[in-house]
Amino acid sequence: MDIQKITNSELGEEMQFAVHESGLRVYVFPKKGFSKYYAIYGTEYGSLNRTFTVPGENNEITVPDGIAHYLEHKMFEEEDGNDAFEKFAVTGASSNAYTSFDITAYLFSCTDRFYENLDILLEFVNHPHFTVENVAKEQGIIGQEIKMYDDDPEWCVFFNSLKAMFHNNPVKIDIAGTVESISHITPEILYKCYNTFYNPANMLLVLVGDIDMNEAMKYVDKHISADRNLGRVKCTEVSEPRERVKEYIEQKLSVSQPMFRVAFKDNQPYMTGDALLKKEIETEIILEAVFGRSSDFYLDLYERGLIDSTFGTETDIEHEYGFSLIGGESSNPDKVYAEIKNVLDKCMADGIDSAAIDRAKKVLISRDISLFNNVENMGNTFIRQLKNNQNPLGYKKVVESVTYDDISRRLSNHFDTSNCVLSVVRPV
Amino acid sequence: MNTKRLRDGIDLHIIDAPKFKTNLMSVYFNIPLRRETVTKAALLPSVLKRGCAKYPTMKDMSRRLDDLYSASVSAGVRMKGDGEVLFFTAEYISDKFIGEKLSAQIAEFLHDFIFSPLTENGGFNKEYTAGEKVNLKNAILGLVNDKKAYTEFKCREVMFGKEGYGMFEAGYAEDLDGITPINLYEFYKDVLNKSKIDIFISGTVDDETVGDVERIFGSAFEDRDANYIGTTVAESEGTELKTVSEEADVVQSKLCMGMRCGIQPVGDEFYAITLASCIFGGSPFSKLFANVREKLSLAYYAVARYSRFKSVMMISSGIQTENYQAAYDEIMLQFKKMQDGEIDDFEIESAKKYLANAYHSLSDSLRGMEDYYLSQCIMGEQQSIDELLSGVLAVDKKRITDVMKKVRFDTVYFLKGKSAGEVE
Repeated sequence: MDIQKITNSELGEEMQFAVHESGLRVYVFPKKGFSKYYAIYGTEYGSLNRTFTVPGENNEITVPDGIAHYLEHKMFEEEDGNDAFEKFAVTGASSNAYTSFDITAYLFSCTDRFYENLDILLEFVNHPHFTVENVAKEQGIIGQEIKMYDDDPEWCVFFNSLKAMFHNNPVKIDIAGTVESISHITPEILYKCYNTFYNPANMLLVLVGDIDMNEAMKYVDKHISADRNLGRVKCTEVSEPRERVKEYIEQKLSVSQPMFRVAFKDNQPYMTGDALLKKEIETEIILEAVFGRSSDFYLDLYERGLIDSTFGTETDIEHEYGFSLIGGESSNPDKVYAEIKNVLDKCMADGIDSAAIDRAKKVLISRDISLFNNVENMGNTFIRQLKNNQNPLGYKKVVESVTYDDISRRLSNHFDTSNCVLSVVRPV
Repeated sequence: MNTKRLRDGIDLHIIDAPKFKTNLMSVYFNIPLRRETVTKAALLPSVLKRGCAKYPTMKDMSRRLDDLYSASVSAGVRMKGDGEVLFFTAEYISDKFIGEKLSAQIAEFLHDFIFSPLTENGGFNKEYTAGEKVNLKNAILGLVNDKKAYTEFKCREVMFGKEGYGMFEAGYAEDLDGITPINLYEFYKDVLNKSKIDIFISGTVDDETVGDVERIFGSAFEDRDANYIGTTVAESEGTELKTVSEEADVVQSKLCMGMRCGIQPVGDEFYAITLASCIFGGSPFSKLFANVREKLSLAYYAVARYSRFKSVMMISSGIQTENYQAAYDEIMLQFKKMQDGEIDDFEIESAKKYLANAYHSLSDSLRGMEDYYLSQCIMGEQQSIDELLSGVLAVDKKRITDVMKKVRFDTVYFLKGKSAGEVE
């Protein structure tokens, strides 16, 4: 097996990389001097993947909303009646899992017995055990998880903005589904999803810590046979109109003052590699330069009492979807919305101050350096970048490659003030 | 960690950890938690963040931090038992990545930020104070936005009243009217001149850096006869269990149960209660997780947490309203098992390994280490993380049941949502 190496001497960091014969992509970031080891094992499968063709079958099926997340919960169940948490309890590792729009990942961190933990991780994720009884048991637990989110105003204001932006893109569907949709989940459908998306060629294993790649590969060999290679699952492209669904969406909840998000949908999906990363970085530079803590906008609205320190921005640009959000709490979200559109229109007419762009680039580069302080942050960030065929050690180079013209182009493509959304959660 | 006394009441702590790519520099002022001052203390960091004499607007402050390779500065208050700390923290890229001596410039920034605030007519800037009073009021009222945190706080308040540990560290909206730019500045001068102060510098720290920090901060302080704020551990008062139910417009009800444990923060009993709370509700193999969640499917989360300073254990869970009794009974049943020693060796061994992992992990976090050592200072201890761990590893079942028998339920707080039939 061929192990490739990429180093970044400026950062003092290295990445080792190999493709297992099963198609599994394996990465090691050797982190000497740290006590902790971190492993994250993920499949390119999340709430977005609701319509697909099971390998070996002919027809496309559509599965109940929330099933990727449900599957994640049920993977911890083991045939001997125990759960994977109990196995990790033997070693003392701290384990967990999450499901996002496009990734389901299983992870652990430990300070000891790393390979034993890796053994447990690879064992349980490669051995599904779903029964009518254990699937039914999860309804109550996930039902409470869904209700917890229903009461979370930050989550509601966020998700409502997606619903107002996207017509067809399944990113608008709640990751955990609804109490109703998960009631249709059966062991049979879970196995169909598992057999489609948990094939090794659709998965990545990212290891951070003082780890030997060859040793780690022995455990991959042990649990994953080459004949399970079904190839990377191709996502079904969804046709999404350029236009928003509606400009305004509102919900009333028990909160103290209004929360809002101004949302911009990305209309250039299905990019990959450095082009995708560059698009994300351009977006972040714009948000930082125009709305960051050093911006004229932030100071002006803060001093006028329209925003407070809860104000912030985020962007999530992936292969299958993309959006940017600007928001926080405000007594007058409509006024802030008007000001945001106003400053963006002004930027489009006059251009963004190039000093502000340079400052924003520095902020992004510093953030990237700090990332290497923490093995968990490294693993969580890198699994996304690696899924998108990006080089986690090459972030700074891409930031530096962004030109003023790139920024202007991105600004007019993405921050279209005639196509944005205002989502507000107001007090009951 | 090394400690140098800069002046009476002022210590500089150095944590040398060159594996990190950033450094952390912090200044902590130890102050009591009192109703008269808690709101002022919470207001101070936001007023100071608006500007100082040298960088009079937020934009000036931010631009300066941008120049320092996007250093990030935070300021706020954090409870430490019956006391709190007012903290100022800067995190910045370590010199080796930029070929420039950043530590001295960061120390100067923090020095300006803390010691040369923007003042006028013997008080803070009027607009800044007024604006931040509004923001703090919103933050205080905003507690209700997070139903889990709200319920846990209300439980704590019922247990301890509006004094000391029962207080909300963000303060009280009704106290804001009495705060003026002048009385706030007077309070701040008291904090600066009379508090016990701890300065931390962590990361890649050489002698020159320490020298710079000493020089820059040394001249700012006067000697003082000041000490840490002691905490009285929560002993059972032998009173009846208090049960409070509050109706709310939510779909999931929140259950919080507070217990008084009466255990000193230092010593063998502390090790035992630490292990006990991990077995009871502090891990994914705990009794609460295994039974309330996994066996009965009543909740997504059901946890127990122990607060070292005050010796309080809090159970927190989110449930269907109509499952209140089922959840309550199960929690009580599991609690009784802890007291009766129905704990198997696997649970004890697992909890020990789980805690070993957590303690060893501390050395991978600058903020984690800083907070650990700050707490040690406040408790008057100098225990290393390894010593703490060996204390915990020596605990046996008898010691677990002995400490659990001291634990008394004090308050049940139930944030009651609509029951299943009422959900539209």
